[in-house]
Amino acid sequence: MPLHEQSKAVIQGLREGIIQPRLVVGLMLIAGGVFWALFRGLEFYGLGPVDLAYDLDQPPLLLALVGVWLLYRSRS
Amino acid sequence: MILPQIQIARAHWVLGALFLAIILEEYVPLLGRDRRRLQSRSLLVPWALMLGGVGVWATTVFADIVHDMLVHTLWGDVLFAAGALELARRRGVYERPWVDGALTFAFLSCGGLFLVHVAIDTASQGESWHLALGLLLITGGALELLRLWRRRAPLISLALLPLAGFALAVIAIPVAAAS
Repeated sequence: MPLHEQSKAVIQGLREGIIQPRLVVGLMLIAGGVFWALFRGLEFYGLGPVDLAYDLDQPPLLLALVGVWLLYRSRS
Repeated sequence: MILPQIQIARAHWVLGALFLAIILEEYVPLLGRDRRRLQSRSLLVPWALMLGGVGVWATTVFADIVHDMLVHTLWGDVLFAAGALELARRRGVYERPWVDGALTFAFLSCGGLFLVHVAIDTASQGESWHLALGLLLITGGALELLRLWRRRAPLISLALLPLAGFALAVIAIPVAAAS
């Protein structure tokens, strides 16, 4: 499903008063990841394939990535 | 080859994120237009369990302590077996009532293995972490076992709390405790 269709589905759900628990948990995880990153700081290793894996393999980013996944999976 | 502790911590963080995705996918409901829970048969759960099994098994290769090798081998076996059973159940090729307990069995036995890990390596820096992680998994497994036994299907299972707590603790595990 294209991104604009997903957004429409989420907005339609909100209009009908259906708040997906996955949407709420996903947003909480992203917010938690952002606050954690601000508090803990993030390391930058570079943009090579291995460096990129190191960049992403940091607890705040992993938390936010799981949140993004859950947002994606909140489409009914 | 022996990995430095930061690499061991990195492996724990990734596995923790994978486990968090499994738990949230399985236990945070998706509501339909009638506000009822839609039945999820996501294949992410079995694939992620088997991927986690491979990751834990890899620890056996890189570990330099015999009990770490043994416990991680058993963790890998349990995760892979649970993943295979869940895959068969979700594809509809093998449906038996007892297979519904595959995930629960995996939580309980992985939690038990954490306690075994603590019992045979009392000098580990991560002893208190391992104990807490094991107890969280056992609590989650016991709550799921109770739910299966009572044949209840609440909107959100109580097991979500200890299991998500377990996954978050693995993601947050400090470098010094990751061994």
